[in-house]
Amino acid sequence: MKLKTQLWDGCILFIIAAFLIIPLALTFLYSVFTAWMDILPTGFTLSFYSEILTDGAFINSLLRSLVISFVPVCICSLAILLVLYVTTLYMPKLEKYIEILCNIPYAIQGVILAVGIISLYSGKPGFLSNRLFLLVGAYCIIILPYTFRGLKNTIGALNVKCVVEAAQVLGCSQLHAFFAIIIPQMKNGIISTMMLAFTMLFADFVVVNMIAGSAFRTAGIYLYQTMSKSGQLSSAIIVILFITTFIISTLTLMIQNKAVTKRGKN
Amino acid sequence: MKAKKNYKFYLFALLPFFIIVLLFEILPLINIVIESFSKTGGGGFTLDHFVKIFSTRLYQQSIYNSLWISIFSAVVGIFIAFIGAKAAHNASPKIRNAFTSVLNITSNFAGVPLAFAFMILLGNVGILTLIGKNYGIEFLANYDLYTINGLLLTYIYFQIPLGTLLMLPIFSGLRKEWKEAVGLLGGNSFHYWFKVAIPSLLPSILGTFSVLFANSLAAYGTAYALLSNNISLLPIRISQQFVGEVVQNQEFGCALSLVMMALMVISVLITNKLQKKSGGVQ
Amino acid sequence: MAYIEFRDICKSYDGENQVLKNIHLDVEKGELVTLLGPSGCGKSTLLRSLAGLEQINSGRIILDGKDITDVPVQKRGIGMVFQQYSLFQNMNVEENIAFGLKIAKVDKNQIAQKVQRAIEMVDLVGKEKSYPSQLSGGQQQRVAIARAIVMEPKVLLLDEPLSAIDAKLRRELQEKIKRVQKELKITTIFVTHDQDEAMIMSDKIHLMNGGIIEQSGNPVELYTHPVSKFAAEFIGHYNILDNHQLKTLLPKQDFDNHYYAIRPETISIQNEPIQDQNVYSFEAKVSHYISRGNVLRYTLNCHDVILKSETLFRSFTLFDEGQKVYVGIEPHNILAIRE
Repeated sequence: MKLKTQLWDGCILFIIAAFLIIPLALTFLYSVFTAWMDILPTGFTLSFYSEILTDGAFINSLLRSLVISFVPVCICSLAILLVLYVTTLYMPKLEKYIEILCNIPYAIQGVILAVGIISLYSGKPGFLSNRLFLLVGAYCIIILPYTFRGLKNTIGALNVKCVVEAAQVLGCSQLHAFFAIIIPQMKNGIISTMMLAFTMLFADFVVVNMIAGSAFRTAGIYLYQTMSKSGQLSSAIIVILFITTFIISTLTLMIQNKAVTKRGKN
Repeated sequence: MKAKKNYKFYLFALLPFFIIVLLFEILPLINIVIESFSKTGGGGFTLDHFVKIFSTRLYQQSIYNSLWISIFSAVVGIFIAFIGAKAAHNASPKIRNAFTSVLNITSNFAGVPLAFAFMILLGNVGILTLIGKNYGIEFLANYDLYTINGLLLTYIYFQIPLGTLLMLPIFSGLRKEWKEAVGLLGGNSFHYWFKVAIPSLLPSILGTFSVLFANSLAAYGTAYALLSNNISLLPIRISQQFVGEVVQNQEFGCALSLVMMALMVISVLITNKLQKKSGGVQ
Repeated sequence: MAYIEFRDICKSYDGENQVLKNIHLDVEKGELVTLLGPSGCGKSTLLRSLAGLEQINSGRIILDGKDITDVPVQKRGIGMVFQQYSLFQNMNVEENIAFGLKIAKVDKNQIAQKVQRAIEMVDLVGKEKSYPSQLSGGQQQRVAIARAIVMEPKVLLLDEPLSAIDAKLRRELQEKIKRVQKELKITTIFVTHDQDEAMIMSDKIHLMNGGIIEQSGNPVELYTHPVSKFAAEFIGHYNILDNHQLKTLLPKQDFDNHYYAIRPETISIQNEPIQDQNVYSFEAKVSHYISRGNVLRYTLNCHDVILKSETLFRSFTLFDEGQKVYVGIEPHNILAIRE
């Protein structure tokens, strides 16, 4: 009886996993064959990859994507860490309201956020109407709920008050204690939260398309523009973007593991 | 200690957060609301935009389509996620981890790339379409991806990883003692699942439904890549007011956005109410 | 003038809960005193207000002649050991202990010397590079102690440092703390709710209850002469009787006070009537007894007045349940106490 349910569960998992993986796998296969008219494709080649990777425009768009995904993550994480410093040590009651502010973006996702920002700031003087500035700001809001939740959970696992009091008695200011003792202990949580936020922004298309459009061509926009030109090139781009995300996640996991073994934790 | 309290320097640490939130969340939100009720091109108060939305067939259609595709994909997504999460929960840790990795990797596969992958698969010259044509499989040969039904398939695709990941942890809330108790009282598996387990998991299921619903309501990339402006969905209609060749009507776009926000808020309120009614395990 | 003076210390939470009510307390230099009391009595709050971690509503705190009431925590020159989880997890033992010295910008070589001496003092040699997560609870507290004493503070405060430690280890650490304190001659205030611990550790005990200091004295004084019902109930296993109950036991004597306390070990039991005229005696029945290793505790019933007596277990002196016995108490062992 148990075996039967185990087989059944295994089947379900297999079917779902297959359904999820097949489009992905096929995209990859599509990028390495010249023609696919029947069940099996023909003409194995890596020419599409070499074409894409030598295309300066693509490399630039990839770099733009990396930068524009990284900068808002740093800004947002720092802003929230500072807020957590205040709410954990001085004003715990404030946290409720901060949480509400951080949950609002759930209701103004994607299009709505872009609409709100464009309709408010286009045509305004100075840096307020600068597309890049607006894009960074919009991105900060997109990742706000996830960054807040991730960092709050990380700090919640620590005994902040007691440690900071001990540091104070030893002559240390609360600010110094927060940055010298609490934040190093949050390292892993901070890194995984930042990574999650990064991958979300890296995959964005809606917001950057609406706010920046062709003024700031990220990899996502480049992909969209390539779709109408060549199917194989587009799949190659998708695979490259995928691999990039994968490399970054693996690197961050490696960094986290290194930190753990150094401290000899189990 | 008292001297320090008078100066409250630490409040400066709150500045970056509040500046960002004010500039990019609060003010835009307020602006959307204001402009929804403003005449086109600035001016006085008006309800014209909303009248237009709810009386023009074009926009009625977009609201209907958005709701339909969101609810349907969320329901199907939850169903598959439930089965998948349950199976994963019962599986050995090794299999569970492998499955979770698959979920994590594919949860990022949404938007434009996803649309493209499905085009390769089921588009006009898609692999499965060609196989269908060559081997006389009617269904595959004639499958039209470029309709709202085709889009639905892609939406279901990206609901599955998200839904399953959200549902995985709730199964540890089920106590095996409940199953045993049901058995002792003479019930079978059916009784257990439909009378005990699912009702107790209902709040979490509803919560997940809420997330999936909001997720697909706001989805733009996949639809845009697959059908560009040929599909009547709220997000598409909204973005049309701001980019592209169609005449820019900011205020109207804001009104549409407000409608979409209202739909999201209503769905959250409904699920909250249903959650409270069902009690159970959070 | 005492080394530490608390004058009229008052503290309340939200204007309602008064946690400290006009506390007046002196601590002499080099003393090891204990603040003892049940949870909620205010002992930790008083300790923390000395450290500067709690704000007081009114009153003054004077340390070594200086009024430190408005001085920030960092500048008070006080060392503190918390109950648990106060070590810096991202630093190893050495770095934890050196932390305060680094902040005070002490010379690097001096830091290394002082840290080494502190580590030797708490018997943690060999563990310098370990991280807190690799240490046991007892070891972690020893690091916390080292970290506090390395700063050569004027006062050392310990807030229930051994409450989270296993009983066996606790004895060891109590000894260690006493030894360190005597060696460094450092004024120390120890907070605990465990009266055995207080008795073992202190030169002087201040018993607190509901925000006031109920009684102060050395361990023997406190144990043999509790002044109030609360003190008698808290310290040891006193029998507390009111004057009506005592009159029932000893109808020929007068008892003016409302309450009396009798230590169980001052109640003697024997099979024959008691001859000594200087001892109050009466008959009672043994309800039951418990053997606690080397001590036998008898529950006696005399006209429904219950008394507990304790004797060292010497052979042949077992009385059975239900047996009629003669009880003797010397008059001076019946203490009059207040409410």
